[in-house]
Amino acid sequence: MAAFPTALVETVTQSSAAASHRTLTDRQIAEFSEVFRGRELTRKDRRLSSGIAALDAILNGGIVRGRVSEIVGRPGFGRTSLAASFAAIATRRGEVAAWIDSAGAFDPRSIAAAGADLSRILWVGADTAGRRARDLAESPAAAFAPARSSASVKAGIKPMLLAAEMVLDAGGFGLVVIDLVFDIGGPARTLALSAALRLARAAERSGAAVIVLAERRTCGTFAALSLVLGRIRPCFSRTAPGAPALFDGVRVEAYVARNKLGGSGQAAVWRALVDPTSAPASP
Amino acid sequence: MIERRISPKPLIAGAAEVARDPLLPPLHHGSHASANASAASPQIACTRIACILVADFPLAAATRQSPELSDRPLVLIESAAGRRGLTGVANAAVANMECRFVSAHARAMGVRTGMTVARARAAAAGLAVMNRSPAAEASAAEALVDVALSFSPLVEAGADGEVYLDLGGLARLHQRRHANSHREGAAGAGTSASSSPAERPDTEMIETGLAQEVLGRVARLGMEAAVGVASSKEVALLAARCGGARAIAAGREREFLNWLPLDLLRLDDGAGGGGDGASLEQTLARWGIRRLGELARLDIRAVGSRLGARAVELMRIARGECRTPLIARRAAENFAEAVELEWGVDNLEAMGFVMRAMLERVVERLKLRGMAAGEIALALELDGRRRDLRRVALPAPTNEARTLLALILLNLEAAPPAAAVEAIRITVEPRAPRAAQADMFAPPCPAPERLHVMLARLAALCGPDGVGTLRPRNSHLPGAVELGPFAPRPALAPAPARSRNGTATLRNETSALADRDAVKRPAATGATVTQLAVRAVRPPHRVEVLCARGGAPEFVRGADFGGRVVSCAGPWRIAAAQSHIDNGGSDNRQGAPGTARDYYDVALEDGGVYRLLCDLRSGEWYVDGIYD
Repeated sequence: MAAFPTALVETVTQSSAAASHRTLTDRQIAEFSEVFRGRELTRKDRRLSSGIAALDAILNGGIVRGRVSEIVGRPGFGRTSLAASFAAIATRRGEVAAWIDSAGAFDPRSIAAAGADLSRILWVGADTAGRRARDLAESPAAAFAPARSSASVKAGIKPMLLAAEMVLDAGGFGLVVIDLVFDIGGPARTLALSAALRLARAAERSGAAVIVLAERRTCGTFAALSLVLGRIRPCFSRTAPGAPALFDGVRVEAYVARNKLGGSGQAAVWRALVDPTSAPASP
Repeated sequence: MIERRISPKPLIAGAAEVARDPLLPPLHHGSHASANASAASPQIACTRIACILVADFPLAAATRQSPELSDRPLVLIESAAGRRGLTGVANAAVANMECRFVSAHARAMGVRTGMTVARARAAAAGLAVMNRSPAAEASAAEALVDVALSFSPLVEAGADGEVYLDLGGLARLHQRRHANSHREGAAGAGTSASSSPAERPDTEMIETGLAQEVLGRVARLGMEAAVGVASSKEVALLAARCGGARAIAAGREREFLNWLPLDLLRLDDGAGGGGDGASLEQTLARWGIRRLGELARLDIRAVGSRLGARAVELMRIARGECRTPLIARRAAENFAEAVELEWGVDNLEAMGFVMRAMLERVVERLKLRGMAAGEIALALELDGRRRDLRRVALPAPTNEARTLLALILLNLEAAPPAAAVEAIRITVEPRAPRAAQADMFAPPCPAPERLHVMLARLAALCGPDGVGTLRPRNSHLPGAVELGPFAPRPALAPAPARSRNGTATLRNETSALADRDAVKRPAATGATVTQLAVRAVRPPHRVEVLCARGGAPEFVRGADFGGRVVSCAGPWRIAAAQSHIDNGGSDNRQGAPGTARDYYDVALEDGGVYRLLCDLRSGEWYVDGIYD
């Protein structure tokens, strides 16, 4: 998105003499001129909405594009559902999103049910590099020594960051979700601060909204937003006494632990349901 | 007097009467009646032909494959041992072999063609001896053709290291560029640029610039060449043999040829003349002819009767009359590079080192032609005269050598060759890179070319099965997925809305400009309920489950997690034959092994809700997903 307003600004500044022929309004010109003069590539008011009213209200409209936002919480606390909501909003607007998956946990059925257009989501299974290395080490053909510099041996978090940088460098993506959550029972993954810095710079260059899903805050000062999801409350119900129980969904609580571009300390509550169409009117 | 001894008539005669003589061999197609006439009439439309010449072509091909040899004295031998080079030949046998091609560096140290390797090694310390590689020469010749095709569609590959291309009309195309560079240079120097006819660059200058550009492109492919531009192939070749970039203006060929030494005709090469070339050279030397102008002034009929057709042909070349037509060839459909290794390579790291250089050369050739690599065919010759053929598919056309190499290495790692590799041939099928015009009012999308490059790089990083669009598979199992190619449709900008007065305004809710307005009203568009997503656990994580009497799970214990079940929903049973699972029920064969599972949604003490499955056949429990 960064190239788009810059081109416009150049056009506007070059054709200032021929102001009568320009098609942009004065307000738009002022906006882009501000971007140009202030060297501010990210604009605080360019946000991606989550589609959840309570959350958007405390985030001033959504997460900021061109910055890294981290969604933190334990497994099952609603991180994936929230990221799916952002992906749904982005893809419904016609944007393209990328989902960098460290554990192969992307479930297309539920992401599509959240409203996302799967054809506009690039899935990158960054775990396959490590899996390949493991498979190769166990294969009888391992005697044919693999190259040390091969990408397949770069297991761990490095392939994810490389993949994220490739996606952001390509440009044109509205949303990039980096899922740092490991397999069930696995160790929590954290980013080195240098990696977080690189990620933040790549996000700023591309203008894409970057969401990092992690178990704890990992991007440090390079995250513009840290949204911590609190303890959830699962809801089970029965259609009738004695009938089998049904799992309805969970009640998600989130509070803003850090927000560089807005207020922090606010909290929001919403419900994530297995079948939102059958939800009652009030939470 | 030489003339008196050869002929009663003076040998110097007009070319017009030569052309009328029916006894002489006919002129080539396209020749004009008279060289003098053509020289005097510049308005004759001449085809402009450029000749790209790489001197010592076998040596140039060898140093192109091994650039580290360019600083060393190098000789090539022709070993009967075949492609294995010098490793299959005993040292004593190599020492007795003749040096067939000697580099300029080695020549300066006293090594000459025909010397034995032993003598050459004694004369030049650090002499590199290599076997002549037909594969390397073929690749280099193809690369030269690619350079020519990057300028003109009419290209003819001549002898080794010679390529001819038709430059007719190209001067006008490049005139504008030349004028622009001239104007920029004038602006940089602080002088006013003018486009008056007097300052307009002449054709010769433009053609020389073109020739220099050809030289630059050949240098990008790892070779040094000379380029000559003239109205005929023969004159262009002679101009190229003078070295550098040289354009001979139409009608001034004779003037150029007059002062060229006779050596440039390469009479001793025997091209077309066999051993007659040397005797012809001796004869001409005995006559005192040292330059082409002197040869051209002889009586062609008398020379023909004494020295034969070869001498007549040489005279026509010397007069600038010989105009062999350019026979264009079709552009190659594939780009290939081949390397014959001196030793068998049995590890991927060394192969990667060799293939990286090969791919960089291929990519450079592709770039010259404005193409991108589409699919790679890899042919490996293995120890024991075995062959290993494989194809490496690319998710998208790309010109990144690093990406191509990573994909090839992934392929080789997955199925390593059965033996040491002795020769590598990489053939790349070219594809046209896609380009598209971005919509100003639609949300931004990745540019097709950059998207393709990115997909290829991601595939190299994560494997081809790690990149794409993941979508649910048509199956009864809830976690079944399939991977498809990622090809998002371009976003469409909505039609302009109509205002009250009927004028169309470009108001676009999804455009970037309206983004701020949209997010200012989150409460109007937001909801308080969202879809609960599932994190799939692939492969399912095996756990121990303690069940109550009714069969419902009461306690879950895994390797790294577990706890008491707080709430439970289920079971939902899925029982289907394998064919139902694979084909979504379209195939109803009986007897195939299938699956029977019970699914539960359980909330544990830690607050998480897990999707458990119990395999009814084995009685084992797994965590299939986490509601997150």
